[in-house]
Amino acid sequence: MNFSELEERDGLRWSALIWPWSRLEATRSVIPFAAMYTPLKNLQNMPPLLRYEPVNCKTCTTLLNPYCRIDPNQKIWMCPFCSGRNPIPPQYSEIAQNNLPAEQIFTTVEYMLPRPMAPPPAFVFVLDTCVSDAELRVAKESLMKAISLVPPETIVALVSFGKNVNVHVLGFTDSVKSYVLRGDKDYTSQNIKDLLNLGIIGSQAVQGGQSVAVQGATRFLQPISECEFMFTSVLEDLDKDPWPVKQNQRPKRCNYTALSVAVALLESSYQGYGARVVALLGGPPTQDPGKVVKLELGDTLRSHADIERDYAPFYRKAVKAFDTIATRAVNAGHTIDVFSCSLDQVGLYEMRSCVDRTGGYFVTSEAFSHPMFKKSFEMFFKSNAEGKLNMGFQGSMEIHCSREIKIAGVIGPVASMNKSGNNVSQEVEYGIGGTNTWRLCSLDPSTTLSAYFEVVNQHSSAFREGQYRYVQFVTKYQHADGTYRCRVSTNAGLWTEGSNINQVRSSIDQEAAAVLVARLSVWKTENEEAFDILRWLDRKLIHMCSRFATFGETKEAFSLPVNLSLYPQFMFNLRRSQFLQVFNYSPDETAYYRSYLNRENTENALLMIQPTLISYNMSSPPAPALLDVSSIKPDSILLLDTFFYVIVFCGERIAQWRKAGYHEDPQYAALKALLEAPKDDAASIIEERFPYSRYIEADEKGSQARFLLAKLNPSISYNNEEQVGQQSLIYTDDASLQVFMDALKEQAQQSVQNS
Amino acid sequence: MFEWFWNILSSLGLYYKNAKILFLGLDNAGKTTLMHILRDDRLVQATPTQQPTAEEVIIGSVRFRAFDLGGHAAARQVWRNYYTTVDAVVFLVDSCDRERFTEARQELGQLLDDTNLADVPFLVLGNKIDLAGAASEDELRQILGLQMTTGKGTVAVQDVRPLEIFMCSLVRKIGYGDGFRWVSQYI
Repeated sequence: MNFSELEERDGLRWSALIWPWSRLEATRSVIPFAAMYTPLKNLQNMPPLLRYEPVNCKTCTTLLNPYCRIDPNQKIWMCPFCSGRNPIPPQYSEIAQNNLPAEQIFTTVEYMLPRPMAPPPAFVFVLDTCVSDAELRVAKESLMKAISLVPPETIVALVSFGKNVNVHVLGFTDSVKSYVLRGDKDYTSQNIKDLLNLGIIGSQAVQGGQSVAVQGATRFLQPISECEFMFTSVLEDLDKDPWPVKQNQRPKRCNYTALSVAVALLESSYQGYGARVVALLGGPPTQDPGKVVKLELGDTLRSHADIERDYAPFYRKAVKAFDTIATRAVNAGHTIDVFSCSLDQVGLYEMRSCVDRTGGYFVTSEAFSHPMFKKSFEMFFKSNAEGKLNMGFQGSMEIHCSREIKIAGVIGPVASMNKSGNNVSQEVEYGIGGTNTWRLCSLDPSTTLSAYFEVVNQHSSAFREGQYRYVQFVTKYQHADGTYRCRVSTNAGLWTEGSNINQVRSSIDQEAAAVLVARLSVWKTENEEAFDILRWLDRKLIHMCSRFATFGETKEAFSLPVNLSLYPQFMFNLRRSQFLQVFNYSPDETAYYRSYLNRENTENALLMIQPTLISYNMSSPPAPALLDVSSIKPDSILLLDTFFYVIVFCGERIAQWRKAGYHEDPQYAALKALLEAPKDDAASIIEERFPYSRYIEADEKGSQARFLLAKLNPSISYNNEEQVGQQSLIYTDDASLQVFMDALKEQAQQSVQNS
Repeated sequence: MFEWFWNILSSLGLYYKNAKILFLGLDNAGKTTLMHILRDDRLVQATPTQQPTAEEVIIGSVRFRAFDLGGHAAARQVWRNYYTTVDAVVFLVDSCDRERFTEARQELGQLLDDTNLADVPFLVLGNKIDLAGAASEDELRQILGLQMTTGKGTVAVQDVRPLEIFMCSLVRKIGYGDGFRWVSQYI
């Protein structure tokens, strides 16, 4: 089975399909044994929803799946994970080889659990009012647009902030009213609940009659159908923060307190139900416990260099403060999304746990009026064909695995639920480990987790031909339509004996492996002090090549099998990417980029590591081009897609023709068509993408061309320009792919000889 | 005597004057390239800078906290947030991009007129002289209105705002060293 078939069937991509039988051999293979799993992937061949409770093994709680053996005579089924024997429950009494339920046929099924419906999802909007009048107006328009897009039963609340926090009353009032909390005070969650009188808990507030609810959080949280008028009036009345901003100072902002209040609103009334805090930020917090910079402009926002050298006096305290908010949100199962619209940093780096652990989204843009914010914000609230939001809430994912393997950890927009078990590795931890269950406060069809495993078989233990390893992913969540769902994917994979290295090699999915290693390397840079990630990557790559490549007498004889041939290039581009190189990026930008690498599927994550390049010219149809500076030709146009931005780049001659206006002359219609084709393709890429990509048009040798040049292999640099004449070149001292590959071949060969 | 002592210390990397400098100029003038050369002595091809970044670079006996601010029109709006407590401004000009000389002149003019920067030394670097068609120093002086400058002497001038232009090629790693030595004497 090829990799994409498996992805279409189960939403799963493994680094390798066939695993070496023993721990020793697995370690020698260097690649992590792991999977990219997209729990809510839209699967074409999934059977209709199963409207009953799943049956689980009484020993290991794994759910009934196609790998279970049924014995209709003895009325038992055998669990392949633990070999436990279970009685066939009465509702399956008709079961037989020719009459199997869907969960016995399909490796991925989704149950709709017979439970009372959950209330509709809630959104608490947090709006920064320390921005210009024009910016505030656009932000308000976007909020209006959002509530017009979501289903009318959706619950909303509005918190605005500047120096202080305003919680706006949306229900049971005829006049515009709000509660004000001081922005510079460190309130506990309980303080906030007391001050806002949020005493009444969840179900009462949601379902209870008016007389009961008046006192509780329902004053602030109302269905759009009930409060649309009030919401609009409040927004219309909302002005820029009136607090004066002194010369050479920043506005007084309390991003932390505002978020804390928003989380408290939901904690007290919506615990356990689907909800998101959607924050629209225009600048950094300057006065509360989350403060990242002083009020005075003389103090500048911390850079990567400052954080590294511990010259960022507010950094640790702010991270700690935002961590407490993240933990509160995770405990209540709520998500925090941050839309930051500013030309300078707003402190995303300190807030990253709030977003990354709650499954939220970071969207950054230079202004509220910029399409990167406006379009992303609209897409975020778009409903699907069924008129429901395209997201699930209050999720959890549990992994079961057979005894030869243990769970090393998960990397993705999740938080640990600290459930240990026999299947949790005690020895290795990749990402968030020490548990077999993770919380996904929200998830959508693109949310992709990487799950890492450890092979624990001893080298001496006997290998049996045809033996399988089993892994089951059980994802429970609240669907946007209010039903409770449980998606189950079960996978069986082959083992092979240590001597069969070829079998392992031929089953490697280099794309999945590259993304799994990329996520791991980012995790290590963020969580391990003073870690030299580039050396680690190089060492891993050399070891892998010395394991799987074939060597001869000369360097040229080095070769990798076809399914691994691109892997070194992925690593070359990963080393150069903004995920690991922070020069010329602010900490906020780094937090933003990394959050997408850690949540998107294999295809998108790979695109971020190694962009795609398409070349257009007059004489042949558009075709993929090498990601190399030699692909720049005077008479062709290039389209580069990096996930975060898309650039259309005109070669020198084409740019000259365009500037001369030839394309407007009917006799050069072909030129006009050539100019339009890549733009149309770029538009259709951007249309589909979240977050909305930056779109750039550039000409060869122009300023914007740098967006392209920085991503190309510098096979021709200024160091060897004498040989190239008019060809475009790159001004860099970075090694080219060729130099990198030569060094790799040499090192890998040496490593083989030394071992 | 003290002079000698400080020189020893600074050559050992134990004593530095601290200074905050800004790298300003239109997009594609070479600000980020300059930053990377000063930090690692290596050339890199960067994407256009979006949010301001900062690095610590050491030139001679001065430890600079250098700020690289984006040069495209929108990014220029944040420049003024960085004007307080600045010790020097390095303004880069692409000496080949004739179409945008007027724009560069306007931006430089605004900076020189800004009261917050009234006493701040300005080092103007005319970059990319390695390329064919680059403007000469005289031409650039003319276009940018920099006929009256401080002089490239090694003795600091008193009572006027230090302002001087140096031609350089970052990719050939020539010319900017003299500029930094010149500006260091005013910090």
